[in-house]
Amino acid sequence: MIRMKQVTKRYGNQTALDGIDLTLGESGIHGLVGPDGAGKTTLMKLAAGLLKPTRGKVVREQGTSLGYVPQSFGMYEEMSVAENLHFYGRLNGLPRRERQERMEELLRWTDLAPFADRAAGSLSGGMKQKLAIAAAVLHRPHLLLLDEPTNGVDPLSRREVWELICSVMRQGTRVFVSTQYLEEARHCDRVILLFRGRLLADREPGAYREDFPYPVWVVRDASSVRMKWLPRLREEPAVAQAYSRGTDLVVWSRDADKVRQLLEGLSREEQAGKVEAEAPGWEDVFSRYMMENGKEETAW
Amino acid sequence: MWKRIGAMVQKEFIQLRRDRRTLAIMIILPVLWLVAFGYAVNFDIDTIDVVVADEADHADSQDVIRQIEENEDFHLKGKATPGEGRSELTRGEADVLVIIPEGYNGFSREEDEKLKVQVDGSRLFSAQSALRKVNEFLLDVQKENMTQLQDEIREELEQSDVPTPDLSGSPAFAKLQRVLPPQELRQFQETLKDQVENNAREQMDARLEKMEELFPDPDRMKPEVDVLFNPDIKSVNYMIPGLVGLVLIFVTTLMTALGIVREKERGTLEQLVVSPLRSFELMLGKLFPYFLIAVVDFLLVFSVGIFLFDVPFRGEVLPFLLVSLLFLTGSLGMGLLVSMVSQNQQQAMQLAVLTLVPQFILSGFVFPLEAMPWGIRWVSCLMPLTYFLPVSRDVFLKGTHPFDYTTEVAVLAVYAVLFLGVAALRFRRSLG
Repeated sequence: MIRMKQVTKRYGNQTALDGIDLTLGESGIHGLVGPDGAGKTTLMKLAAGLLKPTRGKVVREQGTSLGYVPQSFGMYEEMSVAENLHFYGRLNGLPRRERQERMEELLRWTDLAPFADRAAGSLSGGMKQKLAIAAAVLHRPHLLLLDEPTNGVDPLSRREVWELICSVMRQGTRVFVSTQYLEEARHCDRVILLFRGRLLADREPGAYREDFPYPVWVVRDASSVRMKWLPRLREEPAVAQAYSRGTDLVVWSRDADKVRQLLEGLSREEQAGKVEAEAPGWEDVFSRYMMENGKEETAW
Repeated sequence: MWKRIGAMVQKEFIQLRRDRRTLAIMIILPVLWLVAFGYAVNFDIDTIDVVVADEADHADSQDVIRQIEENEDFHLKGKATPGEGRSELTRGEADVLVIIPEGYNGFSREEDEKLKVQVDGSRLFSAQSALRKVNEFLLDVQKENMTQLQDEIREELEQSDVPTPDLSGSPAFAKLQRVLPPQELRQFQETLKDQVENNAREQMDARLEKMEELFPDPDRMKPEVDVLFNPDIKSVNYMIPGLVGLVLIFVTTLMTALGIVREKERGTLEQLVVSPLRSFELMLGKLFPYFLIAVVDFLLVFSVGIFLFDVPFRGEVLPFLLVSLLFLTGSLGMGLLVSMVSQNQQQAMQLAVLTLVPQFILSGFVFPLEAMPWGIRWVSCLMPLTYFLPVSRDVFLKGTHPFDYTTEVAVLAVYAVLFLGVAALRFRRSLG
């Protein structure tokens, strides 16, 4: 386990993390969600021991072995998949036989076996991430730290990467993973919401949605009217928040009926689509926290 | 621990095998330098192109031209007027212009009757060679003129007849004619003639001898010069022992700096830091391959210098290797330091070049330290190569024991400890 006590990290005058209290390694998959610049990578690096806090303490429990997958591809591109795995296996002290067996197991597991002799640099984005994860879990660490492993990876490969992360967890390794894709929070047992260097919440994913205080209305096919409507809706006292999502317009209401009537009236006048009720999405959940913490725009 | 270091070393070699650019720098660069400094870089110009402006056009001037033609250091490009000759110098078509003035003879003393020589100073090394060779040539011309004059005088003296004294008219001879029988008188006459002739000959020889003493013999005037350690003053004998040091410092500093910064830049260093690898194991694992390659490069330059370029190695190999290792350790530390303050390979390359180029210019590798003003020379004193070069050159050419150079070896040792020590500390700190 890794414990962070009142951890603050500053780069010059800029505060990247502010008074973080956190324990890692208690949940199966512990997610870290936050927009760009929230301080996710700094938090990961502090957990990995790559950075020292400006204030506070990061304590790694004795005997806690770590696996770490940085945001950039941390494998040797000119070396083959197998050579990379061999190297990290040797570095982590795996005996030859165990190393070989574990390597074969991971290659099968990640579907990288046919590419064992291929240079790591020539793999696709998804395969690269799978290789990096395989190299990080070769020695079966207690805690695996993953810094935005699905960043820049196509949707299909993202699913595969998450399947791999879940398998790692099932094999007994605790995972701490950061992401900027909100919907990925659903894979996690607990989710930390980080915003502007501050930890806004650390809860089970269901809890975020359960206590969402505003009924959500969605106006379908509103692309032609949304720019006109948005300023007006934001001035309505019954509207807590309004934003566009694709071609839809999403509205949080303080007074559900009043807002529904307002939207239906507008929709009839301007020939927009249907007005429908919707359960709050991850974007709504996290936007609420950010709104409450002073960020003007709610869109992620 | 050793297994982890072994893994790092093996990984480095796999990477090196695949990274052709780096491999090329490490293997081709020393070979390229060897070829350049062994064959191409030669400060001795074999043939000097000469143009003659013969304003005298007589036997003496033609003698000078003949001597230029016969001299194997010169290539007579042709005759020209002084103006044309000057133009040829300006265009770079000739190195030297020899003007033989109208009143020239072998012993001209007047200023406007002396030989005039103009050298193209814009070509530094040609000019230096030309000056040396022209001076030798003029000495030869003087010597030949002198010898010729001596021969002429001797010939004249030898050919002059000694007059036989005619005593027939004197009263003493009449008395002798009366007293002596005719046969004895003839004998007396011949003896007298021989004696007079002998006396005259002796006097002539004495004068010749005196003349030879008085005439300066240029050959005898020339001091006996022995060039020790590098009798033919071959550039290659000077360059290769220096090149050994240059290759060591270049390969290690540049490669170490680039090797570590590459890990930093690609994010692989973070992976290594999170692994059980300790900072000094990581440092050793990174440095050892470059150390090995530097040793291979060192041996390559060393052996090619000795066996291909015939550079003499008169010292002892083992102590020289030890001093070289000391120098090498300092260079590795310097590379490590460069990598610590660089964020990417471009920065590391720039910084490495910034530390290496002054060493190339100011260490005495090409240009002698003694010729540098103190304003610049103190910079040389800060550079490790400045201390390795004299040791290397003297061990190669003079056979000196490297440990006789106490100051140099001590400075190299201090650099090795200082650079590697500071770099290791910074390395450890930067890895957290």
